[in-house]
Amino acid sequence: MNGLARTIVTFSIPAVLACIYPILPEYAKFFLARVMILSVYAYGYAICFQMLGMLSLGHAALFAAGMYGAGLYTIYASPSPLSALLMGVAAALAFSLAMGLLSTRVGGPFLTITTLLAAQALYLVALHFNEITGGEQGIVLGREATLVWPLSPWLGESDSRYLFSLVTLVIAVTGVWALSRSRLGKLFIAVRDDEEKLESLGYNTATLKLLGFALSGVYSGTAGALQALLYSYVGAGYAGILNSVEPVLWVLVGGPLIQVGPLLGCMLVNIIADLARGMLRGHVLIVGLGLVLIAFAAGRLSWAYRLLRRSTGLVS
Amino acid sequence: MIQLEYLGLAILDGLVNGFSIALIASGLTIVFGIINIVNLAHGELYMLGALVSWVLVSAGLGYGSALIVAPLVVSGMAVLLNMLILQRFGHEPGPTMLATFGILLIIQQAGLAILGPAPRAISPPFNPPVEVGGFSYSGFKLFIGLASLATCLLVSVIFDKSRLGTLLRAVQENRLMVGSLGIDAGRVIMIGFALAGGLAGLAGALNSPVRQIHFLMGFDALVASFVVVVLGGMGSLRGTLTAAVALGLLESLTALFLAPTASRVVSMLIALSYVAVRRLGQAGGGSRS
Repeated sequence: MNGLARTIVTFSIPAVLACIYPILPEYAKFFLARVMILSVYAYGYAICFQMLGMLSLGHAALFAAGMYGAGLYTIYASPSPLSALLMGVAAALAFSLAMGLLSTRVGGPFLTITTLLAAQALYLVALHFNEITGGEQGIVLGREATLVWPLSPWLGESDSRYLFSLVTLVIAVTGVWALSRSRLGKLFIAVRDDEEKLESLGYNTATLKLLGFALSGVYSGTAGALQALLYSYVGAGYAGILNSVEPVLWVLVGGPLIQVGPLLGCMLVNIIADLARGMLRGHVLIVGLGLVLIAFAAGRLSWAYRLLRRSTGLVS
Repeated sequence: MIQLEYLGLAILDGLVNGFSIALIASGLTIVFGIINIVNLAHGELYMLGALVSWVLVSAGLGYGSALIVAPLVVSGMAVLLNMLILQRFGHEPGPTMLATFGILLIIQQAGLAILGPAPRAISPPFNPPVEVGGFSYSGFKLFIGLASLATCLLVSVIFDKSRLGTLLRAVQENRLMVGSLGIDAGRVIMIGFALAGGLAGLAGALNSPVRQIHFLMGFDALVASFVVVVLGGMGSLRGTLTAAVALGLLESLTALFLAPTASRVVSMLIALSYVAVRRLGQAGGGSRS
């Protein structure tokens, strides 16, 4: 696929999402807005996993850092949604730098284990301070703290949610599209494919990995902050392990093209989970079955196989 | 001397917990040692052990039966998982790790379906207060600690001295070579899974009368095991035992002045800093595996 075709494919789904908006029924609007926010998270995860080959199981913490940063700011500091959004992103960036400093320095399965432990630590901290965070039950934010509020004289709640989600998605997609064409993006991929060779060429791969992890954290944190500021809810459930493993599934289901894969995979998995909600025991089981199935499929999909191999192997 | 009594109780609790965690983490270490994969579903095997015990005791079959049946059932489960799923990928780390996470979620949901959302409990079959160093301690907890320690030591001896142990270590060193000597590496791996499952099942059965039997208990056990294998070295049974005891003592001593979640966070942070300092898994840093 050449550059132009790739660009057209990249922006076609957001364009479709923009075009179908007037004819969408209320539930579809609500559902797609949520999926678009989650897709921003999916893109963030893809930067870490698909580009740099780091299989993190701790991204829920980065999502949650954004969510708590924004949500708690509106509760305890000031109900101003825009500064709350910035606070959320800043919190996620800080947490991803700390987590990245620990995790990206170690190899293979240890990266997975340390990210998981770090995320679980944040989860337990959120539970521990449940008077502040609301713990597992969470806190519902005031209406005037949401991003939807300033638009309410003109737009309905679900319309402005959709609008915000779409705009954020387009910015996120553009970012990944630009990254994949840039020198930095190519260096990221080189880290994944042959870290030692890149190192011997004089590149500082540790810094590259940390940079990628932080960028991934900014994406994840933005998604988390929007979760708080559009749906006016913060809760420790978002810091739990399920929220860390779902993006792995989205990225692998989405396919090898990083510009569209995360969005496609996220939509597909969530639509299936939504359809199957009545039949099976809900979301968690779908994710579990999906992971087993994708593990079987990975044997046949050479890109997924190679990606998994790079991200779980030990450096000897 | 109420203070001293608290300290003594905390130390005993720490040791008992440490030996229990060692029993669980040994299985994780064994599987990692043989096929170099992190079995993320290992904690769920522990939960299954407790679940089976609860089912048996609720059916009026007595706790003694649980101690025998739970390890066997869970061991069978582990073998089945390996046979039906993990073996199909030739134990390639990536797909195997993903699949074990999927299995984690599936078993967890099965646990939820059977146990329900509220925690369950069974009462200890015997619990005489035992005098230890001038104060009394739960006799059943003492039994858990001693049984766990004995099993860990037994496994460690099997690993070091028996032919089976030699085979397990040989598969770990060089699977191809073992195959060319006419030994079925697949069967050795199967035995490793059976052993790991049995240990997790036994730990679940042992701990079921003193813990809340809950569908999420497996994940907590997995996190504790991760802390232990990170500190003790992946694949080393003796390291696992030492690190587990250290973790148990650390958590019960910090629990004297911190909430339990906070003391768990402290131990996790210690494990994380250790990983970062030793740079585990990196060429030229720490241990290779």
